[in-house]
Parts: sequence; C-alpha cells; structure tokens
Amino acid sequence: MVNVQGPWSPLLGRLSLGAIPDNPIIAGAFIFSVLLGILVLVYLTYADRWGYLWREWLTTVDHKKIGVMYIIIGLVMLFRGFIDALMMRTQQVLADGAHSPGFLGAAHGYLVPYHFDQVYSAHGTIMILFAATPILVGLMNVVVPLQIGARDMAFPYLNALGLWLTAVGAALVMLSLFLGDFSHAGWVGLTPLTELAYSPGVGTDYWMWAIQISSVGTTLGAANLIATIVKMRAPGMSWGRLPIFTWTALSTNIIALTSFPVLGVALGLLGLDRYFGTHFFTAGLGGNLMLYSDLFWIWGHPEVYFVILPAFGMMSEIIPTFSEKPLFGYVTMVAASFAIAGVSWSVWLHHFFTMGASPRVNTFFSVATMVVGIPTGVKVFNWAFTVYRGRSRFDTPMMWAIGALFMLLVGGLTGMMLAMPPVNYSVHNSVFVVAHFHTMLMVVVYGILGAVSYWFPKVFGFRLNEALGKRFFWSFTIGTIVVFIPMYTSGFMGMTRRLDYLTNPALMPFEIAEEIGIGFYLVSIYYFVRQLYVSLRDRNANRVGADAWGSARTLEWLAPSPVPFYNFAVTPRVHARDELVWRRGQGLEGAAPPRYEDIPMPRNTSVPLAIGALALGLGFGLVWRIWWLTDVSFIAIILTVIARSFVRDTDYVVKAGEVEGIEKRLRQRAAEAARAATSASGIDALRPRESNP
Amino acid sequence: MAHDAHDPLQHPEVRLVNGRAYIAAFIVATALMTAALAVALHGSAVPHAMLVLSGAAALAIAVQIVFLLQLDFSSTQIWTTVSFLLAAPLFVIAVGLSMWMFHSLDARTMLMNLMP
Amino acid sequence: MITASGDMESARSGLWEPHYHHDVIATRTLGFWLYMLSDAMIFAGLFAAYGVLSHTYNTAGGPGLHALVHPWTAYAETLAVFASVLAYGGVMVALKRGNRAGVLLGLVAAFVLGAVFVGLEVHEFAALFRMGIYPQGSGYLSAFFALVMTHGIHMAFGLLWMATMFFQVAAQGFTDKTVYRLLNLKLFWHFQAILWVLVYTFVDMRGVL
Repeated sequence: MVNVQGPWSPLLGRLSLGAIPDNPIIAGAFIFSVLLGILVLVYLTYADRWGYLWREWLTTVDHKKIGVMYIIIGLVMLFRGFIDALMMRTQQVLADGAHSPGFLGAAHGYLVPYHFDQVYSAHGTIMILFAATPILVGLMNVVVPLQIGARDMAFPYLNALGLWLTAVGAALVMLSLFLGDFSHAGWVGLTPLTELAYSPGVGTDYWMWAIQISSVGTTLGAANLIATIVKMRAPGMSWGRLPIFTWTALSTNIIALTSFPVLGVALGLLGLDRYFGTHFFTAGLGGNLMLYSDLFWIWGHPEVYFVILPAFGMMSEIIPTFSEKPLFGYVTMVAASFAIAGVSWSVWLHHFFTMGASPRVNTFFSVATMVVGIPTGVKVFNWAFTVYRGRSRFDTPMMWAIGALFMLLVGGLTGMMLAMPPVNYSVHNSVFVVAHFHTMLMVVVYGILGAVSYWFPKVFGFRLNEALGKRFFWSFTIGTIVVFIPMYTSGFMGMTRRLDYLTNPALMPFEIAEEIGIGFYLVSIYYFVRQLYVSLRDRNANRVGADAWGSARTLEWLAPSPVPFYNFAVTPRVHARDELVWRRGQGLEGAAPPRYEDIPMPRNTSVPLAIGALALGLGFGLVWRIWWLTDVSFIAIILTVIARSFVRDTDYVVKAGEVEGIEKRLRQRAAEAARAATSASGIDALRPRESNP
Repeated sequence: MAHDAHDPLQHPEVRLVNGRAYIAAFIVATALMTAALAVALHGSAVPHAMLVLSGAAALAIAVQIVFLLQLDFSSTQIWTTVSFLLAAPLFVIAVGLSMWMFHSLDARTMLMNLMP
Repeated sequence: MITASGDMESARSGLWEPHYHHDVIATRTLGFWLYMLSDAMIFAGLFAAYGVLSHTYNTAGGPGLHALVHPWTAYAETLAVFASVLAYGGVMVALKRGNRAGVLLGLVAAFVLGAVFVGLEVHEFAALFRMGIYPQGSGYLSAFFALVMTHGIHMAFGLLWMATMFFQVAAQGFTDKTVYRLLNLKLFWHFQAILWVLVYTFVDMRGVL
C-alpha cells in the first residue's frame, strides 16, 4: 500500500471537509440536485408511493422494468453529459485570443484548466459508459425477450444485479461532483498522467472505480442476453427468423462479453499502480505507458461497435415498419453485423497510430480498419433499398432512422480518411477526430431516440406526441449540423482537442457557430421534456393496441401494449421471419390463445439492490481509501451471494384465471383505442396490408 | 428443448460425464507436462524448445477440452463449443497483436540497444 | 402453412405452444460458460501485459524470469491441479449415479488438492518476498506477480465455492439448483486447470529454459 499526500485517518480515509469544492458552478449544481432530490422525496411521501417504488421497481426482476430503469439512468446521465458539453463550448467561445476576459479565477474564460480538464473527462466517460451503454442495454433488455417470445431474460436476478452495478457507477460519477473531484486525464485516462505521482487526488480513483464497477454489470448483462437469445427462443423462432435487432444484440453482446474484461485488466493494473505502487504504466522502473493504451483500446474499439451495432439493429426494425416492406437483404444484414463484430477485434491500434509502431503494423491495422467499411456499406445499401419503392411514412421514429443514416454516411467517410496513417498523423488529436467520433456516436443517439419513440408505446401503452417529436428531431438535427461542421473545419485548420484556451483568433467564428449549435440542442431538450410531459398528460387519447404502428412486423408487437409482466399469456409459435405480417396475412392478427395456463415467474428480490448498495460502499471506500469500509463491503458482498444461493424458493406461479383476467382487460382497452383511432383519422383502416413474401 | 425437469440427475449434461475420460485426460495431460519439464530442464539440447513447449501446452489444452469439458457438436454441447470457438481466436488476437506491435515498437525506439 | 381460411379453429391452435418450458440447467450452464469465456479474456489481457513487459528493459536491472521460477515447485503445483480436477471428476461420476456421499467425498478430495496448490503457491511467493523480490520492484515483476496471483486468486475462490457446495449438497441434496451449480463449478475448475497449463508453459517452463 502506497502512502498518499495529505491527511489520512483510519475512520474516514482521505475524506475531510476540504473535499467539498468551493466553486459557484458546482454550488449551483449542488443546490439544483438537492432541490430536485427533496422534490422527489416529498412527492413519494406525499403520494404514498414508497411501497409502490419498492415493490414495482427497486426489487423487480421484470426485464421491461429493469430496461426502463437502465434507460432512465442513461437519460439522466445524458443530460449531465450535455451540461458538460455546454460548459466546454462556452469556455472555448470565451477563452479565444490573448485579450479574452477571465472570470471566476480563470485567466481566460470561466474555467481554470484543471476544472476544464475534469469537465471534458467527465463528458466523455459519462456519454460513452453511463449514457449510451445503459440506454442500449436497457433497450435490448426491453425488446429482445419480447422479440424472441420469451417470458423474461435467462437470468432475471442477474439482470437486476447488472442494473444496480451500473447505477453504482453512475452514482460514483455524480458523487465526484460534490465530494472531491473527477479525473482530469481524459475519458481514456492518459498514462502516465493517471499515475499517482501526477494525479495525487481522488479524481482518477472516482473515474477508475465508477467504470470498473459498472463494467462488471455490463459483462454480466452480456452473458445474460446471449444465453437468453441462444436458449429462450419461442418454438419456431429459428436463427433464420430472428429479428435483426436481436441479431445485432447478439453480436454486440459477444463484443461486450469478450472486451469488457480487458478494460477491467487495464483499469485494474492502473489501480495496482495507484494503490500498491507497481510499475505497469509508469515512465520509469520498466513500466510501459503505451501498454495502457493498448489494453484500453483492445476494449475501446470493440466498445465503439458495441454501441453502434444495436443502433444498426434499431434502424433495421424502424425502416421496414415505416416503409411497409420487408427488410432488404436480411442474410447480408446478419452477416454484416457479425463481420463488423469480428473485424472490430483487430483494428484497435488505429487509436494510436502515432505511437511509432513499424509501417507493417500500421498497415495491418489500417487495412483492417478500412475493411469495416465494406459490411457497413452493405448495411447502408440494404436500408436504402428497403425504403426504395416502399410505402414510406415519416413518423418520428422513421425521421430519426433516416437521420442516423446521414450521420453514418458522414461519420463513416471521415472514418475512412482517419484509417489512413498519413492522414491520421496530420490530424491526430485534432478536433477533426472529435467531430468524426461525435458524428459516429450521433448514429447511436439518433438510433436510440428513434428506438425510444418506436418502442415507447409497447412498454407504456400510449404513443409519444408526434408534433413535438418532430420539433425535437429538427432542433436536434440543426444543432448537430451547426456544431459539428464547424468542428470538422477547425480541426482541419489545426485546432487540437482538449484546449481550455485558444491562441488562434481565426478560430473564433467556428467557436461562435458551435455555441449557437449548442443553443439548438438546448431547445431540443426543451421539446423532448415537453413531449414527455404532453404525451403523459394526453395518454388516454394516444392509447394503442398490440400493434402500435399499424404496420409493425416482429413478434414483440403481438403482445398487448403495455406488455403485462409475463409478456405472452401463452408462448407463441413462430411461423415466419416477420411473424406479425404473416399472421396479418392469414387474418389471424388478433387471435387469442384458446385457453390460458399457469405461468411460473421469478419472485421479486431485494438482494441485487443490497449488493448494489454494498458495491457503492466498496467503490466509495476505495476512492477515499477507507479500508474498513472496503473490507466490510467486500466480505458482505461475498456472504450475500453465498446466502442467496441457499434460498430455494425463488419462483411463484401466476394462476391461469388471473392471466385471463389481465388479458381480457388489456384487449378491451386495445379495442377502445382502435375505435378511437379509426374515428379520429380513418386512415389506418384504409391502409392496405401487404402479405408476407 | 421442453423436458420434464423433475429429476435433475437425468439431465443430458449430467449423463455426459465419463469416469474413464477423466482418468485418460489426467494421464495424458500429466505426461505432457512432465515432458515439458524435461524439455525445459535440458533446453539447450532440444532444438526450438519453446516451440516444443507450446505444442505440448496446446495438446494438453486440447485433451482437457475434449475429455474434461467434453466439447463436441452434439445437441447438448453445440453452443458451448461454438461460443468457445468464437472466443478462442480473440484470446490469441489480443495477446498476439499486442506482442507484435510492441516488438516492432521496441525495435524502432531502439530499446534493443539496452539489452545486455 | 395454413392456407384455407375455413378451418380457423385449428389455425388458431397452431399459433401457440401451451406448457412451453425452458431447460433451466442447460441455460444456467451456458450462461456460466459464457462468463468463463469472459474470464478467460482477463487472462488474455494479463498475458498480453506479461508479454509486453517481459523485455529485458522492463526488469529495470532487477531480477528476470530465471530468478523467479522453480521448475519442481511448478511441476508439483501442476500435479496438484490435475489431481484436484481428477477428484472433481469423481464428484461428477458420483452425481451421475445419484450418490450424495460420493459427491461430498469428491468435493473434500478436490478441495484438499486445490488447497495444496494454493499452499504451494503461497509458499513460493513467500520465498520470493524473503529474497526481497516484490511486485513493486519493476514493470516486469509487476506483470509476473499480477498474472500468477490472478490465477491463484481464482483457485482460492474455487475452494470457497467448493466449501459452499459441500454444505449446500449436504443440506439440500440434488435439486435443479445444486446440480447446475455443481456443473458450473466443474466448468470453473476445469477452466482453471486449462489456464494453469498456459501459466506453467509460458511463465514457468519458459523461465527454466
């Protein structure tokens, strides 16, 4: 165990009153969070919702509710990450040129360099690991079991555990805002800057343990999803009939399962350096600091495809539904997903071409990177051909899917440029690279936002407001264009990334444009929140039946909306790739099962929540070096797991009569919704139904 | 996949177990590791000793996978086998490409000169 | 395929699969196997780190591999691991025959042999520490200790699991849950033996060469 600077006590570790930062921005954020927290607590108590929260959400093992909680965590963190982006853009627009003014103790702009560095590190860490990843895992959680006709995930208890470990990671990141500080070494954790000698504070430890704990959750979730897809498919759901989103979920979780452990190793070895004084990544005594980059990107690059493949899957579900045509090239789509997943394992050096490996090595990784363009191109053409001569409707999900297609085009082409080592050498670490990977991640964001509006009615039983959804889409898209085109340009002009102060006044117009773009994003957030509010308010007018869009194709739209906790009253038998289209063609769309049966279901359990709480104690203790807390938490986790394994009574049975009652009620409500929809527009009833080819 | 789960001992994965396979695996793997020890102790006498050791390790692992984990393409074990076949190359890629790139890096940053 | 619209009732009954259940044990063992493959990637990362950090430069003038390994201790450890796996084979054979006493006896034997392995390794490290060789000495030593100790910690967790299973089988007999846990423990224990072959060959024997 190494000694650290500053005071340390056995009881509180490094924690002291000095850990509370004195900065008006953080104080404002703190007051905002506390007020929000008090508001939630008061509401829960006043409306007597504590029991409901405990029974229906905190102890649940229902894959849909767990998925929704994942998505809520992700959206909250997305907002936090956006605020970080807003702060960075504002700093760069203010701190431009030698005569730019300084506020709040900063020489230029309003953020001191150390604080600015924390902001961009937090932005990256949050957006990748605590926004994109949880939302995608949440969507896969909700949709995959429904798409394959399963009652739940293969391991419902493990699923809840994964959720709470992710929540612990997010909580540690948020905690770092008010207690101590966050890493200032970039979201990738540049070595040897992250070593104790250069980062003696707790910031790096927060970053490290937040990622480490949440990535354990993601790994467990990946094993769960793969086992679900392999073992839990309904009869007739052969591999050739599996919906594309499930295929991409499978490929993406293969990536997660195999790559997250390597991240664990990279961060674990860094932890050994920081806590035990070993020399893995130090500059002296035989350490190799590029080894960290190597291990980090062995995970990091597959992670890029981990986030983008589900987005491809979402687009592949949305586009056929709103083109009323089967997906073009199903087999090539599946093959392309797995080709991308496979090649993703041999491209990671392109993140550090400039390390100085031999031309032979660089060439290998350059060619491998370019190869990724082939299956991606196949996908783009498949989507285009699906829309071609289809009966296209531009509902909000379709708008997002088409938007994602354009983002993919721009991001993919700039990616091809960066894949060439000579180009890469000249733009390495410029904001051109930043603009490139943001455009790629926009594919993910567009996919996610499309998927949220697409599957929202499935989970909650009513559609989101269409007009506000479109305003959300357009303000968001204008924001994207106005931020990232200037960013590409300034990158070409030589602006490096991670600057808290710009020396070149010629960059000023671009910074102003980007600030305006951020303004559009702010407007889009307003429309999103308003969309949620209005839709919730008018939910009775927007109720939908099982098939929320009138032209849905896959199995999840067979279950009632909102989906009851057991998903399907009787397991459906699958006859075609687009089962719903097949049933529609046979005139069997609304067919109910002939008789209901008892359903065995897993019981709710508070154990995953308890393990999550202990993991929070473990993480917090490790950050502040409070050894009694880490020891107690760690031993308690092991004992809890062992104790839980002795529990035999983990399931219960839902009686057939109860199932019948729930189904009848849902059908009645769906019929009312259908009547209301027909009288409102009359269009849905007239829409011709195509048969399954 | 539907089966009556009343007696877990009748599950195909329990029935798969074979006592003789265990003994065979023990004998073969031990013999291989003993041979590896012999090769290592007399390394100078054996040409391409590291290659021989790697071969012995690969064989021992193959024996354990086939006889102990009983990976095959039967309907009971097919997914275990497929997932292993998908994951094993990633192990090799992660280790192999890392060592390759750092080998070239060491040569180009002239760390070789630091060798005694 | 149903084409005639007349026979609606039979068409409808073909749409559902009543009383459909999943194979719990097969799902559990596959899930755990996937976790083991994930665990293997931890070792991939550690082997990569070990491979990169085993340049002479990384020893920083300190002891290299030759000074660290003892061929005969490593060989004894190998025998202990393999024998423990064989004893666990006894557990599996007894399980197949439904012999609870046999399972418990096999668990004890596998535990004792596994403990011998862990004991030998602890002894080996204690000897290194006495010689003043610590993980903090150089990048190379850090990688060496991290790799071998991670395997050792896995073995220790396996022992904890065996002890738990001993009491669980003694208390609950052969239920779905205990049976799939015994099968999962089999996967875990055999996988550690496979990884040991890699450590033995590429760390110990390579050092002896």
